[in-house]
Order: sequence, then C-alpha cells, then structure tokens
Amino acid sequence: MMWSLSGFALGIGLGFVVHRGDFCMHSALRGAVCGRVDPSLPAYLLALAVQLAGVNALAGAGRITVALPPVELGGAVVGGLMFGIGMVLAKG
Amino acid sequence: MAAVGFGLGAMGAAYGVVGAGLRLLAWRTSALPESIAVLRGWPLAAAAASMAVAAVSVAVVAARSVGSPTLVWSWWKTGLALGAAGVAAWLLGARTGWHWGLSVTGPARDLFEAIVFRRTQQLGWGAALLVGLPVGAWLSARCRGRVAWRLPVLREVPRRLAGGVLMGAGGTLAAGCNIGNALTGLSILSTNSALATAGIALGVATAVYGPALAPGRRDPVPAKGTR
Repeated sequence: MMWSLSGFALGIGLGFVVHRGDFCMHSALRGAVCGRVDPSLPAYLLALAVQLAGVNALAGAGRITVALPPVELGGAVVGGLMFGIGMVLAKG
Repeated sequence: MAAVGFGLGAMGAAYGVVGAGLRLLAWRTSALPESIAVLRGWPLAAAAASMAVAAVSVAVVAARSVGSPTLVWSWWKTGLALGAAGVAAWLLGARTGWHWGLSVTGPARDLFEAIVFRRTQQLGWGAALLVGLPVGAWLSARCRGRVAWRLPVLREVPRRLAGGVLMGAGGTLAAGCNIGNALTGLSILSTNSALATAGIALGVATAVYGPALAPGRRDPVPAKGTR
C-alpha cells in the first residue's frame, strides 16, 4: 500500500513535468509527419534514450524484472493505427 | 419504450461485434521475436546502447530547428526529467509487482473497470500513477496562476468523442498508448511496442493527410493551445 502511494507521488511529478515542458506526443508525431520539429520530438527521443540506458542497466544488474510482452501483430498495428487516428481527431 | 429497447439492443450488439472483432485481431504470433534486439543477433546491451545514441543524435539534430522557449522548459530539460521519471517508475513500481514503468492506457482501463464494473483487483501502482498525473499538471499550472476549465467548441465535441473512443479501443488493442509503447515498451526493445509505435505514427499520418477522416484538419501547423 505504501509503495503504491509512490505511484501517486511519481504521477504528480510526471504531470508536473508534462505540463511544464508542454510535452505532447500528438504534437511531436504530427510535426514529424508534417516535416516540422515540435520541441516535444527531441524531448521524447532524449527521454527514450535515458530510459534505454537506465532501464536496461537496472535489468542487467538484476534490480528490476523486465518481461517482454507477447507479439500480437494484428493488435499492435491495427490498434496503433486506430490510436494514431483517434489522437488527431481528439487533438491530444 | 420498444424503440429505446431496440436501440439499446442494437448498441449492445454493435459493442459485442466490435469487441469480438477486436479480440480476433489480437492473436499472438511467435513468428516474430519478442525483442527487436535479437533481430540482428545483437546482445541486448549493445542494441540498447546504440539505440540510445541514435535517439540522442536525432534529437540534437532535430532540435536545431526548434526555437528556445520562454514560458516552458527547454526540450532537453523536459526529456531528462521524463526519462528520469520513466526509470523511477520501473524502480518504484517493481516494489509492488508493477513490472512495466510509465503507462497510461492500462491503468486507465483498470480505473474504468473498477468504477463501472466494480472490478478492483487490478487497481494498484499504475492506477495510483494515473490519478497523480492530473494533480501534478494542475500544480504546475497553479504555480503559474493560470488555471481554468476549458471546454471544446460544441461543434467539435463529436469528433473529440470519436477520437477518444478510437484512442481507448486502439490503445487497449495495441497493449498501450504512446507512453506505454513508444516510451516504456521501446526502451525494453519490445517488438510489440515497436510495431504499435509504427502503427501510431502511421495513424497520425493517415488522419492528417486523409481528407475524408479529418476535413479541414490538413493544416500542417496545428494551432498552439488546441491540444
């Protein structure tokens, strides 16, 4: 229970960062598709790089458990496609 | 009354058909490896490191055409903070059996099921994260002293609702949204997340350039403040 509260605390931090950085995956992807760089695009790539290094180092050191999800080809591609279209329609 | 009953029945049937159709799509395949690191026979560490270097390089090159913002954090500050939050999510969540990191779609479904169907056994670390998210955003806004509820123009409500339904259904089908897949899943080199991320990018392109889907929304530069 106490450790679940850490999720709430991190959620507050994440919400703060996303708002303060005006971070928006919709803007990042939409910009990229339209040949324009939204600041969220390099921010996303940097965050991905930090996670790639941090998470895999922690997993290598045995500090965290990483279980890869099964591959659902149709679900991933069609679901992603639906999500992407929905994101543009919902503007966010 | 009969008309209402018929309408509800039709809605239920439609929901059932769509649900069954969606489940059909989510078949599992072992034809592809679960990790994109093994596609070329690379060890995980080398694949992760080279991907990280590539991501930073593209970010630096791309950021050349970004002006320095005045009101919001710079891209690198946002990226570093977001990445740190992502790593922290793995560390903190692991204590409660949440072995995934940052995620939005899964916790949103858990919360939805808990509220609507009273299925609370899935509620945990992820749901707590999601509940904290708007609180943090509100805090950030409050610190600057500009907080107001903003309602979309009535004319836009159906489109926004349709978009929300597509995001919910699509995110569930793809086992994650752009946070769970493009950020968290890609960082552990998940093939499923790479496919979903490609699908999301393709979906954005489809909606932006597909005239029938988003009439009048083909402007290459979305207006600021409409997100």
